[in-house]
Amino acid sequence: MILRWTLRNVFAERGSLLAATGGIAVSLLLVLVLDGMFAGEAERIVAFLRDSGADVWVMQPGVANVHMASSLVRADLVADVSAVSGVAAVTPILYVSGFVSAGGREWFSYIVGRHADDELGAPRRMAVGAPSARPGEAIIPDVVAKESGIGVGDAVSFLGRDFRVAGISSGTYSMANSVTFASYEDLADLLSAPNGASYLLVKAANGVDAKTLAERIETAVSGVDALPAGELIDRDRRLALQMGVDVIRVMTWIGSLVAALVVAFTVYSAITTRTRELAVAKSLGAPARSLHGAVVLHAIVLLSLGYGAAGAMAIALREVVLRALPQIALRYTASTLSILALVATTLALVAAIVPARRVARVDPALVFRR
Amino acid sequence: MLELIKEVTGLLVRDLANGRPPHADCPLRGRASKDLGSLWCVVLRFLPVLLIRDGGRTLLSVLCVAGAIALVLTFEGVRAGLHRQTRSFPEQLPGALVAMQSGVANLLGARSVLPQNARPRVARVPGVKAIHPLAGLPVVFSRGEQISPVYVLAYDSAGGPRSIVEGRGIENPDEIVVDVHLAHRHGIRSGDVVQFLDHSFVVAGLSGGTTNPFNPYVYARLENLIDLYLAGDLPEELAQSALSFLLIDLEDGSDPTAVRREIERSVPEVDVYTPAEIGENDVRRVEGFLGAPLSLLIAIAWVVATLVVALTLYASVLHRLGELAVMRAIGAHRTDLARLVVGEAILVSLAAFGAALVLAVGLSRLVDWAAPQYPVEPFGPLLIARALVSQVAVACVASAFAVRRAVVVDPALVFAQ
Repeated sequence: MILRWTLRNVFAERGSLLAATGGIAVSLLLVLVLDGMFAGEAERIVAFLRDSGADVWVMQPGVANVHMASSLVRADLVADVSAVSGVAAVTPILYVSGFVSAGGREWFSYIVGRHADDELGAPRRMAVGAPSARPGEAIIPDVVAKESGIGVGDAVSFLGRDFRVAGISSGTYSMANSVTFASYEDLADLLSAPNGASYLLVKAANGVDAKTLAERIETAVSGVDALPAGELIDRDRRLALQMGVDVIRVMTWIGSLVAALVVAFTVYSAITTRTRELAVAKSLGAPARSLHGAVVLHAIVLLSLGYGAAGAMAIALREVVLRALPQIALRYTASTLSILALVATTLALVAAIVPARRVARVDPALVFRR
Repeated sequence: MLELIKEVTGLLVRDLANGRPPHADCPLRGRASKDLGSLWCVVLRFLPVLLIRDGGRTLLSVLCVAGAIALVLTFEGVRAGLHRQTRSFPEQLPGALVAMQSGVANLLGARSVLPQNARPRVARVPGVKAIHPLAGLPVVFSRGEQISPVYVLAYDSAGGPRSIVEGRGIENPDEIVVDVHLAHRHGIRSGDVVQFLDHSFVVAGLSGGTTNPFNPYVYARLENLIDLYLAGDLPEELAQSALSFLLIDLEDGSDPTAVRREIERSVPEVDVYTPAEIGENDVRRVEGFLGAPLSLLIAIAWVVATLVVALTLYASVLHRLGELAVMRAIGAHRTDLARLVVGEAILVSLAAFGAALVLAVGLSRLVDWAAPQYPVEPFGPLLIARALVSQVAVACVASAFAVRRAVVVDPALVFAQ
């Protein structure tokens, strides 16, 4: 009975409902976007490593990263690594950081040199054009192409040489770790490393564990280190996020604190406006349990509407950002959505219970004196 | 005041019973004028009562609005702090000019390689008094499970650490000076031995003012690194970067622009910048990486803050509809109620702004404690002014919506309380 009455009252006061739901929604939206931006970049940062198809990365001893690292091994080690039991394929790549000049703008990028016909290390998705660069050609990320206003056939330059754009790849842009592809021959020439490779990308045979294979390669081939792709991705993500990107995480903490304050206040404020009604209900004989139930229901209704509105706005914002600011990736993870729901519910219930307890303690006769 | 309300309510009941408009000729209007000066005085008298009587809720409103404003101040402060920190290190490089590889314009994360013969050629340019070589190399520093990107700056006659906050400067071979925040992150103290560049170094001291958002600085002596490289103890990429920058002192009275032009003409492998220009270039680089997300986050913070301020003030007025009905019942005009609502909004806003400044200081300290590599500087005068003006404007707009609700309040609502 009191629950139905609560629901009717909550929806009867549309202005209050809008104000409370709106406050909760924008606060949750803030947290969703902040976390989504960090999660999106954290994924993009390691997209090349993840999509390369390699199970094990072989590199110069002492090197344990791709981001920020410089590795050089003998290219003829490809044969030695290929001979290790459990290796299905080996692809050498050259890898160097530089600035790509495109359309009058400069973009920090890692430049990957690979043989056109090799199996591993190619861009996973192409927006347009060829997936492999021939000498004199380059494949650039779609975001760089869009923001620079260039397309296939246009010129870009890096490492002091001009290249023609042969393809535009998708999923290879990140704020800290974009990847531009060139031919192995061009990069070997530019780096004066005709017989070298930065990394050897290794694909494991079916049923062979990456960690085991990495250990086998280190044992069988001298002068190299080998890391399972998962471990390398984890190390690279941690390293790359430190280079400026984790400022977004700092902002997420701040935003979450403020959002918590707003959610708690909004629920508390909405419940206190009904204090007199609850006092009347108590004076008419409603037990404390019913009053608490009414308050909890009120809080849950507000939170559910706010959460739903925040989710809808977050999805809409992601579409807007995708079109207007393609360099930003928003990724809403199930874990964040769950944690946010849990924390917001806890906060809302705590904020609601405070006025409810006050009502439960109030003298029922008091209502008639007001 | 409660007695006054009771009296007004009694008169109102009598008027309504007689079928007269509730406030058209409210007999209290004259009394109110006589007792309190004017209806505006009623408003002014009512406002503190309304706010103070519901102190807990008002305090929460103030806190909520303060939180929203502090959010904007802090987010803007993150960007301002990043810019200041990025700019400050290159700006304080000794020397009037800095020469670097042609096509390179930054210190931040840059890899500049100069030919060894660039040094004497630059030194021969008229107006150049002295040259100080620097080697710079971005590398990965790892200790245990911790990994961090760092920038090794190897110096010779100038360009070493400016501020030692723990320990001392480099005095012996195989010593380095590490940025203090990097050291804290890795649990390093002065005197510790660390593996770095595949070699063991003693941390002679920790330096301040050497943090940046991409890769904090680690100092070494140039001759020490070259000796180690020649002994085969250091990786090859160090040799490629053994001469990265030239810090240039000028003769007294020489024209920096003319000297710079002459260096670039006679040594085409180099570009020359002033330290201030390098600082600005580094800020542009940070904006290139982080400009779009920071702008989006700050824009969202402004939108969220605006909505939170507006909704909080609007909800506050809705909460007071009962009191506003009493005001109407005692004869207050719509303009009086509008003044009351706007007055409350501005009062809450101003109180909240003060609280927001305190909250912003707290959040800055929290970030400084948890992530000292990101200084938050939320107190730029322009930012403060913009936030204050915006907040008062939002308060006025929000109260305009609330006023629409308040002025149509039915005086009979008072009986529903």
